[in-house]
Amino acid sequence: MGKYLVKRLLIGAVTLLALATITFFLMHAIPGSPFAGETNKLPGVVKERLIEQYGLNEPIHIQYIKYLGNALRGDFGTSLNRRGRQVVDIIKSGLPNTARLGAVAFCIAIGVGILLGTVAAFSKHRWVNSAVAFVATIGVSIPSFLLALLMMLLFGVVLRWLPIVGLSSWRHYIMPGIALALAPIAMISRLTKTSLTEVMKQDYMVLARSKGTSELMVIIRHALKNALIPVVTYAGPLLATLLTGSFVIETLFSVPGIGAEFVMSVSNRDYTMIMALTIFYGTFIIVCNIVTDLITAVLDPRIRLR
Amino acid sequence: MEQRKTVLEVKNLKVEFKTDQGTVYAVRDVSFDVKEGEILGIVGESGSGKSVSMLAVMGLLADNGRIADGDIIFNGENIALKGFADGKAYEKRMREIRGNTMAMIFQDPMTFLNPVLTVGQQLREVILNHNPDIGKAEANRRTVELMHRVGIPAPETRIHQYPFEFSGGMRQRVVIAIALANRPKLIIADEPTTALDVTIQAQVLDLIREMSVQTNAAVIMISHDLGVVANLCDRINMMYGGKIVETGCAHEIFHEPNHPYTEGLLKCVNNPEDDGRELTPIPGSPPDMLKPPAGCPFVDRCDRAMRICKAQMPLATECSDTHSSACWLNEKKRREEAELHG
Repeated sequence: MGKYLVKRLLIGAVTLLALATITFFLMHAIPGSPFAGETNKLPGVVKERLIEQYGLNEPIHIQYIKYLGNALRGDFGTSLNRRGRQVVDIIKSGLPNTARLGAVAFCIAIGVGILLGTVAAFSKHRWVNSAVAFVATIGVSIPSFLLALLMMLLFGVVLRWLPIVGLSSWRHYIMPGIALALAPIAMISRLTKTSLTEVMKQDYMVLARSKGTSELMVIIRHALKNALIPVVTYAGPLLATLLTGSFVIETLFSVPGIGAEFVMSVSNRDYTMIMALTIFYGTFIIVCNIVTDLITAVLDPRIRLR
Repeated sequence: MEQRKTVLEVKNLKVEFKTDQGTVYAVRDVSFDVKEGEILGIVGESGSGKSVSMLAVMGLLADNGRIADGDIIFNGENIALKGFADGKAYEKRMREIRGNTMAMIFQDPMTFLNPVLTVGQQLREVILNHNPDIGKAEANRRTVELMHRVGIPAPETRIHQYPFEFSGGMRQRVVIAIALANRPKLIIADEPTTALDVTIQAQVLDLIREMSVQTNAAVIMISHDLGVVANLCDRINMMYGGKIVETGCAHEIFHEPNHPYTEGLLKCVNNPEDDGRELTPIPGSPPDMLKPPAGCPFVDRCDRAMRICKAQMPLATECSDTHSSACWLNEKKRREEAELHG
């Protein structure tokens, strides 16, 4: 177990290095410069001074080695676009908003998804099944920004029930949370339903009943643990995706998070910001995957961590 | 022979399944009984209704199945659904019975054990279901003892292992241990050796017989294999097309079969004493239970079928106190004899 963890962490570190390397050279290969926008109006001399200050005139492999050296010491540099601000500070100020919103969306997705899936799996009425299938289809086919805009129009503008902009109270989390959770709800409800229906048909459910175990305990003790394994496999990477934010939703609801920051940094060629966010996302996804595998192994003893 | 108590009496049992194609009449008017200490074999091919009739007794039919009619008298109590106020009362009583006084040994130990629970957890569950007050330590002690009784070596360590860490034969011992946990009065074994290696089969059959002798439980052994029931069973019911076509003591079935189906089946069994004899398969396939035949279900495959066989189901005719069969040939023979004697 400990050996397995060390191995996974080492592989994770190698992955991260590859990720950083590829991103570094790719982003420098894209035409354009951090000083192409408004800064373009600056006199040539000033621009050259800036390029020199950030070391952008040096050969690219020297830049790369310097960057890696600094990053290993925890120095991710300052933003090229917002002069003087450490990128770590920018991530630190945006991350809590993004993570809180992501956590809300994750809870909604898991709770509603499993509930809908279970109801669909056990309902004897055909219409319940069709209704859940309908929600699932809507969930995967409607883009989240469209749903977000529709909700803003209905609940924010027409009915005036919920605030539209920012994250200053719990009520602010409802609409962006739902908008983020819709597609995952669709996925999770389908996964739960299919998996539960399959498990309920298994032979060991008949044996469990033959012991005189009540139907409720048969479901809780024998069905859920088996049925939730595929859901956990999906939920791990989902958590990583949600906690790192969505550009569209954060922009629509004016949430000061890092999801929006990432997209802006790319279009601005804010090299240090791109690198820091990529490494942060990468680390987070790797950790989430390791945790998912650990949980799956706990649920299913047939999986041996090696 | 001393008077033995009847443990289970099934009277006129009818089981139906609703499917998209229509109603499947899986069990059609089946009656039999089994006494304590007795091993009753139910033999028939797939779809003959042998497993379904026993699942009906246990109340474990799939959702689309139901007992259409009949009485199931277990230990003097009628446990057919119609004897209860509603489905809830029935289910409550059956929960007390299942795994306690009536238990089932299932066919495939590979699929009937829950893969994500330890063997100990699965055994403890059936003990605690019916003895909720004994506490975890006592339940563990009984689990170890039970595993020991069915011949699982090193039960103290194996109790913590998962089914996938057991061999097929050992898993079947676990399945048997689950069934025996609360010393049931009736053990229903549904083809307990079909999924096992031939070398393990004999061990498992011995174990079941031994347990029946020890606890004086009645055993119903479901099988499609006459070889399996030959040495084990006291009496045998032959089932075909949802009906019992012949019933008798084991030696009567094997040495004086009185139904063309039984005779045909015996010709398919390889008998080591009968070297060099050709095995003869029964031609044709079993009847469509969506539209069960009005007459004898075996008529289409019978080489001695008469016109009446197709039109009307023959009644059971007694050949001896213990032996009877449902075949029109019996009636033909009786009439011929009557003519002969004038």
